[in-house]
Amino acid sequence: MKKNIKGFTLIETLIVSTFVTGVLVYLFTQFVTLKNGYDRTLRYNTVESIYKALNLDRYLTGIEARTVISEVNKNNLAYADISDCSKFDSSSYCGVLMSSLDVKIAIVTKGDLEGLKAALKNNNPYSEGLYQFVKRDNRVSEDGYKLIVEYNDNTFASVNLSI
Amino acid sequence: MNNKGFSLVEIMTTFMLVSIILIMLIELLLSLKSIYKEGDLKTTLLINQANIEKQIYDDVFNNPSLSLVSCGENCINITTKSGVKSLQVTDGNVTYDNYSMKIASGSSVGELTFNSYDQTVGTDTITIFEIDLPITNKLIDGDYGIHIVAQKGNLLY
Repeated sequence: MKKNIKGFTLIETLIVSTFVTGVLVYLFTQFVTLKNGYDRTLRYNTVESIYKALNLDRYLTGIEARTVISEVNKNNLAYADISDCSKFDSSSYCGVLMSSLDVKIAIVTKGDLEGLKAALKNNNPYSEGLYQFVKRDNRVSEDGYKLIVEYNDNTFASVNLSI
Repeated sequence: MNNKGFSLVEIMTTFMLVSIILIMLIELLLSLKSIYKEGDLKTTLLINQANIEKQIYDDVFNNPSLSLVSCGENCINITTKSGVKSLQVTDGNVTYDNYSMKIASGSSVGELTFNSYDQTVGTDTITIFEIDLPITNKLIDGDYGIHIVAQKGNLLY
């Protein structure tokens, strides 16, 4: 009498189930990573955030250009934090403008971002979101200066200053 | 003895495994569907916001003759370099001059407001203009409305 060997053993079923579950979990985690990346880039350089940064650029270029240049080049610093406007003669107007634009952090740096990236990598006094934004900005303006802004609604923008 | 069929333990174990996999698959499908809907909605709202803000900013940015005047409820007349254009909210649409943006379904539109205030800088006066129209959606966080800031002053040109 022949033994009926159709079907799967329990061990075979367990192994296949474990393998399929593992693949599904891996695919799901990859998808979540993609989605987080997509959500993150939706906050970078939106039309609104760029125009707000250009507003700040107009003010800095028109009124405080000398102060900005001097601060960035002071003691070979990689950047100048202008968020609190304390460095400017027109600090009162600057404060009102920053409030209207809903600015959280505003940094002026040299067009080559390597100095800023290195400074933030060693010691980052700002949010992780700002550090990631700077890290991912590969647009280099070798001559001149760059303005990097983080807003209170968690969006970011970077523009080349017209100085 | 008839050895066909499965034992109780085998059936229970298999049933448990299949149930776990099915539950995981269903959860995965539901979350993928929700992620897709949210992403689609967010993209639509952001594109709408970008298009209309660009239209307005092209006129108000670096405009030495800029002024804002109310033309009724949820209506602002904006003086541009080429004349006067109206920004208004009517019946689920936001219109600026000839450009009209349909508000995404399920979105709530706040009140269209504007503000301008003068600031003294040295011997010059600079005016800051603000236009605000909040647009939110119950399915996603954030404000996807119109938020315009413009400056006017001799020192800026």
